Amino acid sequence: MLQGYAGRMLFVDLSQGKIQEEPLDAEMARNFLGNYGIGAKVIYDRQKGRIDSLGPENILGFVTGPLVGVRVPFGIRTVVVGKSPLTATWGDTSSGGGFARELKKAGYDAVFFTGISEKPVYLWVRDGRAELRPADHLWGLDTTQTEDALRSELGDRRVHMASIGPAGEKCSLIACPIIDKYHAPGRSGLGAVMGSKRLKAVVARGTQDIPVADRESLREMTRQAMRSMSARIRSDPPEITRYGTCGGTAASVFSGDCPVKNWAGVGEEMFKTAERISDESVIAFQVKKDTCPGCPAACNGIVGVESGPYALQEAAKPEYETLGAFGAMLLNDNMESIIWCNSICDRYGLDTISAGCTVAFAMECYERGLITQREADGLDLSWGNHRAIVALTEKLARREGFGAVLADGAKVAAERIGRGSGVYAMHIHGQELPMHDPKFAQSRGWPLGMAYQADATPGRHTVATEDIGRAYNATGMCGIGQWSFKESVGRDRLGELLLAVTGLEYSPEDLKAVGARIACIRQAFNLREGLSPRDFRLPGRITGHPPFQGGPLAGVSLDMDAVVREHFQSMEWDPETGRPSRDLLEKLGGLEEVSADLYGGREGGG
Amino acid sequence: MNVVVHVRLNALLRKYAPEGNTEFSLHIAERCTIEDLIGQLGIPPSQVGFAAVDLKCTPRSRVLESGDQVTFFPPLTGG
Repeated sequence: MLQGYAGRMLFVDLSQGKIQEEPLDAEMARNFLGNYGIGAKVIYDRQKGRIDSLGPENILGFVTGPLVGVRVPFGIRTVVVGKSPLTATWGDTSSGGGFARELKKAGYDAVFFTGISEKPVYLWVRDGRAELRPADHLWGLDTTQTEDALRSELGDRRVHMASIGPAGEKCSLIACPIIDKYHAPGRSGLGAVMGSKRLKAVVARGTQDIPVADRESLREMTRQAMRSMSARIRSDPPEITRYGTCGGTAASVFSGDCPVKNWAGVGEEMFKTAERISDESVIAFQVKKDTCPGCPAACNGIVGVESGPYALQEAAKPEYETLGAFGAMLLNDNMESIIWCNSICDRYGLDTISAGCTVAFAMECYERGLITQREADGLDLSWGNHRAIVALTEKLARREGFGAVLADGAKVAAERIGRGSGVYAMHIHGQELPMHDPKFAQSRGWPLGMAYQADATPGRHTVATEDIGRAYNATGMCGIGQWSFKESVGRDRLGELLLAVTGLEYSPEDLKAVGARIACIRQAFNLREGLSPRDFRLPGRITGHPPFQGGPLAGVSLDMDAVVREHFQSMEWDPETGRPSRDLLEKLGGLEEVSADLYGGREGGG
Repeated sequence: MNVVVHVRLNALLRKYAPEGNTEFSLHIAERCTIEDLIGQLGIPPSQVGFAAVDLKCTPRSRVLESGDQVTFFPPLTGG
């Protein structure tokens, strides 16, 4: 039996209403570890190319990793995988919360869905049993209402779940599932895939112990790691435990890291009030801390607004990305309105980055006279008008009025509006960009422009840019955990942790090979879709063409052709086509299907 | 010559505020740089992400002038 894994995967055919179990293949687990590694391998092997993202053939997966559910701090990530309807590329997106641990302790490392259910359903997984249940009574509810209803219906407050709200039900291309009310695997539009399948929720409750290879060593290593990681987190700036990710928002605005005014502005000139949406200004609304299970950092929080138009009792503390997208990008320094917009996105099931950036696009169109106040349902979309921002976000979430024009992201909105508005839609292949300027990142040695343009899921900032980082991601450890583990325990000691959990030896070279396989198979997925590196191009405004005239990034521009070419060469991929070399695929092993598709030998490979 | 600057401490750097005031005026020596000011405030240099004068990113070697508003920010984070 595999150690460190539940050892089984679920395959649910929603068209047929059938559920099948399969053992987790040991060689696949060895080669791809877990999370998006196993997700990519399963989907690549079982899915044809060029299928409709919102059709029955698209396989949607929820996958865990070997460090999930085995009492390793920070081992909590759920990754959601499938072909993205937003970008028509490989899609993966991950989040915290308790769902991954619960699914694994219920007996499954992953669950994959195909087909389209005739009626709304949810999947209920409990200790080795899984069943599809009707969800007609849940359809139309937001994610908070859905969670409350299901906890009541199942009679168990300890269930964890991923559910969609009305945005996913209506197949908004920027919709996402929400985990445990406040955690969003936001990117890639995979909430729309759930909606297209009429899959309202996946609910798990598990009490099983996951077998590990060496419990005593794991306990000792975990104890050491917790001690040093906790000390590191507490003592070093930024103090994640106090602020989470919101602590450096103002710093990001003034340094040039955070985009301002739909990527056209300079923070120090245009958004001098950024401190109103940063660190203490955010914490002022916090009513209690919140945390993923077993986490020493507790970066999350619950906020409330006591009075005024945005009064609410309980919502998630906005993350940095949300503060950027609904704050700096819109020149909005009204903290209460950002909390409200964040809550709308959580409840309707929307990615806050894409939603905020799409509102920014609308505001720029309004400023430039491409849309009128009448077309915008009477809203005055002037920069910083928080009342209009909130009203428009609600319309977007409900797909109502002018919100229906925006509900599928900036790229599609520009196609609907026309009038040359596309040049103001800041996206790459359909996905809005995160709140980190690649020009700034490049100056700090972080190859973010490459990640935005050359990764298989374009426009992402949390994707690893090195093979070892991809291996870390595949374990199920969250980003804050990875950072503190590398800093306090040691970057190269991941293999020791995996040995205690799985009983398998992973040298640093083995782990790099895992990361390289993951990069190759995700890239091969896109190549099979008929996509070429030439199809992916960051907007010139973002790469500094033309460069800013003032501010910290004045004069800075990126040569993206060179950046991508160098990346492909470093990966041993063809610098023009992005095709992994045959030698590389053979050297890595475990990629026979990819090699056959790219270089011949596989029949019916799509 | 009496050089007085206005200092603001942001986020976690607030804990280095003298007497709990996160915004304050300070007399500094002539030819005092931002780096010198960080030392005078007792802030470990590694805990300062960057400094801004009048909210513009400024190198630590900059010599401060009377009336400058100096804001210190922590290192960047981001989710």
